[in-house]
Amino acid sequence: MSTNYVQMEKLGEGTYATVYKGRARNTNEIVALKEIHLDAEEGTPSTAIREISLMKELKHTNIVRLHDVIHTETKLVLIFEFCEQDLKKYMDTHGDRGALDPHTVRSFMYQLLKGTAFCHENRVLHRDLKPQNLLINRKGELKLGDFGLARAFGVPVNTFSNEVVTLWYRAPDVLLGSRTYSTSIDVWSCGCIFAEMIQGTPLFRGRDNQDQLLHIMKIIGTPDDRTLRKIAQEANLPPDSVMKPFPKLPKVPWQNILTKASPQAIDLLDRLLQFDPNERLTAAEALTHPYFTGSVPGPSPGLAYPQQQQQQAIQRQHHQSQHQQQHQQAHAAAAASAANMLGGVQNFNPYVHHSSHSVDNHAIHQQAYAAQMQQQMAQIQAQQQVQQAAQYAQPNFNPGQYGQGQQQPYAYPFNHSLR
Amino acid sequence: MTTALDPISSNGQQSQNLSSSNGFKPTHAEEIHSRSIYEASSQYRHWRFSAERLKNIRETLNQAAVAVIRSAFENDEVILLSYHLRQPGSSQAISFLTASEEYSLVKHYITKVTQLCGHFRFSEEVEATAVSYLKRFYLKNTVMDWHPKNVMLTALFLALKTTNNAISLDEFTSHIPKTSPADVLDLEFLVAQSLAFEFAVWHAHRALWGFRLDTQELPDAPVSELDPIFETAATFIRASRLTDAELIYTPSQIALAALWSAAPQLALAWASSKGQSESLTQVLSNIKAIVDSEGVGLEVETVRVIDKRLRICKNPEKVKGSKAWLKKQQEAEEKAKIKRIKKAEDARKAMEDDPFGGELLAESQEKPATVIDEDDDD
Repeated sequence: MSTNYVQMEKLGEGTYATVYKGRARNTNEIVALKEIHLDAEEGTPSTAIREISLMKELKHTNIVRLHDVIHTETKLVLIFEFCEQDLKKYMDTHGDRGALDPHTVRSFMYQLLKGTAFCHENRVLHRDLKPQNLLINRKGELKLGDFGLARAFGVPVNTFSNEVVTLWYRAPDVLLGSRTYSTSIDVWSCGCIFAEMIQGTPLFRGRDNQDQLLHIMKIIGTPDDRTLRKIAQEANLPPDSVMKPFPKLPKVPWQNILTKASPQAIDLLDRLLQFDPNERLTAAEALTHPYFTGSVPGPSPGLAYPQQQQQQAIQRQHHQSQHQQQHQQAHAAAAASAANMLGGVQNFNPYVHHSSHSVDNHAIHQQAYAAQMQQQMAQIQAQQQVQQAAQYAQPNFNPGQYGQGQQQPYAYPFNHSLR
Repeated sequence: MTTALDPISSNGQQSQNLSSSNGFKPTHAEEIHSRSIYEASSQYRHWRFSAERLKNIRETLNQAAVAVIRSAFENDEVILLSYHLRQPGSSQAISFLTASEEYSLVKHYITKVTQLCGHFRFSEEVEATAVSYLKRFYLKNTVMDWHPKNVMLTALFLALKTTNNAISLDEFTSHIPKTSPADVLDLEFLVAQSLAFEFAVWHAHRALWGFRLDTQELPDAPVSELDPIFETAATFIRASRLTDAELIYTPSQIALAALWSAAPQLALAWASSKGQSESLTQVLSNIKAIVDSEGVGLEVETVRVIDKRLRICKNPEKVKGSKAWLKKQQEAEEKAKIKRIKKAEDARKAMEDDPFGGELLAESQEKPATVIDEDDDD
């Protein structure tokens, strides 16, 4: 191990890496050390190279930060920011039988979509979003982790492996065999995670590919033949392969399944979990959904510092509304100039299927949501402040990591899909 | 976004940033987010220079290398003798490569990358990425330490991995004469580290593809002429790979210069449709001047002479088996040994004096750290 970091307990192990907790000697900062096993035959594994390559470019609050890459004679070590828990553990320890309270759900969902949107803007598909890969730190910030399966999609490649995304979070088009998927597969996973945070258990728990499809259809209904044929066509699949005799199942109202969810939450969920990938919202669109309107879905500082909560909540609220306006302007500007000089070609890559939505459409969506949002903002704001203050006042996160407390050595979820 | 096409100032940084000059002070993360994606890239932040800065970097590297190698020679009589330089101090007689000669050699090996990519039928993405790696490597290293022949192979092999086109090392080396897997792997760390592990590269040929899609939607687009125009522009971009253009200008600037050189009217029509100003043409003609003068391969004879001299002036510490090399190895070995001893000592101390206090240590001994993630649903 490098002399700059002290290696602490092991957090997980996989075929291509071992993850340890570590401490920086000079700052005492706690980090995660991901040690890459080098292959004598092929040198540094390309999974590791790919992960480094992407992580060096993706700097965002909601994406786990790669601080450094160190190599010694025999190994390569990636130094990541450390997060105490993953979402799965968080739900187990803080949820009511796994289910999180509505404000936490909204905060996490907002951050999840923000991190995902940032990846997609940077032409990166995560491809393995699931609660175990979402890290939660002491400040209540959610971060996308484990980019071992991720890949850049700007390169004209239209066949990906369809062995991506853990089964339960896998989009139906991928389950049907599509290899031309794009950002919409991450959006599907976000939807599954959303439902899981609300109800406390995974939404679709299939045993295998076919069973997983059936689980999905049992809830969102069997799509009509036209939709199936369209998916097959867009995915370059032989029509027969998707026209298997699926039972014709009706759509079950989300209210029956997620009894605790608000109408706005259900509306958002429904738009994320569309069978047809083209019908799903993009992550950026989802962020402007009325579900997030007027509130402060950023990290919940109250989780870490309950005593300051109310003031911060108010400040942030103010800040955020300023911000959202800024963002909408920025988005509109970006949409208006499809050929962003700096941005290279990502806006008009023909291989990214959702770019076939016209840019204008996207801008219109944005504006529509923005207008709705402003209307609702004023009403909701007042009541939210009160609610939030109450919520943040609960000291529901144990900040005892550096103390003598009973801190469990949490699993760092990198181990989960180290392959 | 007019800054996009501004030439960079001499310190290598973008002279201004419109998107953050609106009086709103964003947090660090938001600042990155609100900037364009390209401006947040490692390429923009770390791999853009002014022409003067490039020259300066190369000359400084070259001078430092010469000084080091000269002293290595002085300490290695065997080498001196083998070159018939019988007295210590006669390394003065060695003619070391100049910075521009080093650069010529690198340039020659850029053409080798292209040849190899043609042979293997690797994509343009792979080729362009390997070329960028090779150029970037020699902004941190000198050819007198690391011969571009091997670095070129390693750069190409790394580019295959980073662009998702990895092939097995055996398959790679078996098609290249006189090359063993070790020739490629030995340098992998060194190259990756010299690149600061910043593997993602933005290329002009992809920006050109964007212009292609854009221009066909311009009113009065000469649709039937677009194919030959863009073929000419692509040739310009291939030539630009032999130059420093990508280290000075953005990919889209180079791509627009390519289009401009193929069809000035079309390029300007595109620019005005995006509200880009007329000051553009200065940048475009600068790029064109570089590509026109530098974008051709060198005479083989010129390269041969340089390479011959390199055989004499290369760093003996990097030549396997030389006295200087053995000495260096020995030093490194001793250093590693000291480090190992210190590490063992530290580990022993840590057992006695846990930074988190004895109580915690006792606790962690009771509960050994284990893999917690039991419910793997993969």
